[in-house]
Amino acid sequence: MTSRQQLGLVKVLVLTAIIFYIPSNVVPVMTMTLNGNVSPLTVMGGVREMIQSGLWPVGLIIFLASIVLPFLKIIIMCAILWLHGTPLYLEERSRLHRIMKKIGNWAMIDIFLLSIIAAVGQLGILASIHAEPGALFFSGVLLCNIFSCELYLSKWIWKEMK
Amino acid sequence: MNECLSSEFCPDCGAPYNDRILSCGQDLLCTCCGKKLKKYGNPYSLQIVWALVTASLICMLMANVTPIIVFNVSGNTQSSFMITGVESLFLQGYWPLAILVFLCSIALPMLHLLAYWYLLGGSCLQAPWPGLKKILVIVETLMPWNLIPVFAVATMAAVVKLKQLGTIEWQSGALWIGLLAILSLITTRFFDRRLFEDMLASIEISS
Repeated sequence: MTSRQQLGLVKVLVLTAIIFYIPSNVVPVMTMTLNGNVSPLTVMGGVREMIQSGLWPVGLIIFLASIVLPFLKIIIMCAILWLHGTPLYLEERSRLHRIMKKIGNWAMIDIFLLSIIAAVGQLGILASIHAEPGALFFSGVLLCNIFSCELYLSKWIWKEMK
Repeated sequence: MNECLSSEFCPDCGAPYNDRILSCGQDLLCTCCGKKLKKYGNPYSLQIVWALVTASLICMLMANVTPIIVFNVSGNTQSSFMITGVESLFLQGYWPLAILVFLCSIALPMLHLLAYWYLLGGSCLQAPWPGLKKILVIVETLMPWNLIPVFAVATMAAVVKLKQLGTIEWQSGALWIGLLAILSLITTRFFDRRLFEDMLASIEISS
């Protein structure tokens, strides 16, 4: 793969992430059935529920990792792609790219949370927890983010300058 | 010990820098873009990391074969292993999610640790084991896929969340996952590509 094609792939991945980001936040991620009460939960709904029940430290972690982080990652990748090949903000761009590579994977926390919760939620009518299509969109956003970040090489930021 | 070894170029931005011997705890950063070019390499650090990785492999094994949490609603209990989540997602028809969770929490970390162990074994024993260079590439590509610390925090969050719904108890598996997360955080701090490259070069010369 030439670097030109790879750059194109990065652009496509960022675009896909933007498209998936909207349904991932609107469509429910899981359904909880507890003693007959069915409640579908979106990512934001799960966070709100946790904060309301007084578990704000956990709610905050989930909020930062699964809503703020993917959004920030898309914004940063857009900015990096927008400024690709221009001599503006070189240091800031490479610093952001490095930070993003380091913390980007924490967005997976929501998918893991879902898998652990779904594992124990198999008690029939008493407590059953099911994944919903929102989780698919959500993991789509995550994968696009991770791959776009990994495929964009940090030396490209500087390459055009030499 | 600020003796200058040679002049080289940063792989990212191409700015020249002076390679020098570092003292304990020092990092060599690129003055232009801030990339970490070199870490302080203690001659025993390979052995330390080898020991850490061996411990991680044992923890990984234990984390996979012992139950993590037990959930109890009105007397009905359900215990879960790391693989149970994958299984139930698969059975609910969300196989892409199941595969993703399986890869990120079990398969890739395991593969990463095994490859790392092999690489460190070859380097520590100064033995020309076959394919060490390829293994270095594998270890580097799998580095960002080691999501065990994330999994550990997710376990904690899940326990807190499920507490509202029923009785939930930790099992020994959670302890192993916690240990594994701490170990893998320490190990990534020690990883230094240059150390391995130097070691591989010296093995090739001696053999």
